[in-house]
Amino acid sequence: MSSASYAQRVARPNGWWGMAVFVATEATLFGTLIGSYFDLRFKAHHWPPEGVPDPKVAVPLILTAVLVATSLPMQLSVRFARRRLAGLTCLALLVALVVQCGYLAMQIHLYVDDLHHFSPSETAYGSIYFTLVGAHHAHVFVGILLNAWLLLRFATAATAYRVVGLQSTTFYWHFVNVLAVIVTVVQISPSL
Amino acid sequence: MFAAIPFDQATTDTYFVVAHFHFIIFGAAVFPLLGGLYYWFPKVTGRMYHERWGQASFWVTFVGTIVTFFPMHIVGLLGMTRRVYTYEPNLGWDAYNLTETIGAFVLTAGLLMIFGNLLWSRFRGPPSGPDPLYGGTLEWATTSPPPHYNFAVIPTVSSPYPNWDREDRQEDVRRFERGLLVFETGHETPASTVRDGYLDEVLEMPSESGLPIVLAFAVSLVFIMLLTTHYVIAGVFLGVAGLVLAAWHAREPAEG
Repeated sequence: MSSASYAQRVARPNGWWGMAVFVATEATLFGTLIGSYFDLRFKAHHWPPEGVPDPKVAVPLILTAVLVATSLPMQLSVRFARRRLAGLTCLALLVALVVQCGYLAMQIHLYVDDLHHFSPSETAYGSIYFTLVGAHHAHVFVGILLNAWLLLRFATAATAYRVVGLQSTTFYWHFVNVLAVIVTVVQISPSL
Repeated sequence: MFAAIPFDQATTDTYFVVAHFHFIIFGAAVFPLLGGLYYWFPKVTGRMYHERWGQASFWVTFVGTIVTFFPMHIVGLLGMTRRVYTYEPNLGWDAYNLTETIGAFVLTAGLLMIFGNLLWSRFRGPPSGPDPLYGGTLEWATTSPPPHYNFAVIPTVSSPYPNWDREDRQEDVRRFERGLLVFETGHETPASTVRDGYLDEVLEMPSESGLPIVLAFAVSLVFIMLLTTHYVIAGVFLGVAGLVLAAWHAREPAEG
């Protein structure tokens, strides 16, 4: 729009709003999952039920700390992208992506290991445990796909459109990282 | 009416409730709808409807509605149940039901008159001009039918009846001549402050693309295939969805 007469303050881009709405719906999803977890837990006499091992504490906590740390390179990449520094943006994104992939690989390893010890279809505990933890891993996977896409885009150039995409994705990652803390605390809560 | 339990118990499943539903629906929904149809017809088509014929059609429809639905109340109170298509003669319902049938024909005639009027006016009506009804709201400030962009400049609105605020409308013309507040790049829309409605900022709207609907179909098919346990086909459509998503985001708007 042409205008010389008034200071033009452009609103937050649609991509950001789209991500905000998406994050809100996903937060609701995890709210119901965690609500279900505690609903089942307070009705059970033994949690986890007999024959199911207590959840591990140390490894999930360390992994979560590692994942939360990726908020830093993500935020850095936004800073670089705003200044149209495509190379540094890619570097920060790559650092985040490598750590996130490593995190997911370790988590999948733990997930499969858990599946060997107890089943998602035999107890309410197993059912909500695998659903809650698996839902979070799925969110990490989506974030990795988004980062891979952005890495490909920023490899050629940094445009305004791509910066919006990166801002939204970083927003998403902050959400996933906060979620990681909450989900992990719920996950290890029987052993605390 | 039916919130009063004794009355509700007396009339439930009688023809009275049928009368009540239709009387209310015609008064509260159908007549406003027909009114809106007439009111905005000149704005939508750029042509005037036939005024006299329109008044006549109103009275025919109005009388038809009352003659059709009002006797249903009485015949319901006389004991006729709903959802009957025939009954013994001499129960005292015959005259009422005959009246309703005549009313239904009158009502149909009235509705046909309305649509006939609008159809004729669509092609033969005199040009209406931008503001044939001297309306106060903003739609009457633009041509009939309006252009796709509605207004070339963002209109100044400082009262509930902006079309009557001559100063503001003249200000729009001056702005247009000076090229101020003219939307000319892409899809944009103004946003205003919440409390006072002053022009606040410009929102950039998404550009046109056929890909979102393709994406929606692909994602729908993913879940239909998952529900019917065709996991491989679901995976294929998931891949299609990913490709569509990539194609959608690969085309970027020009740097402004």
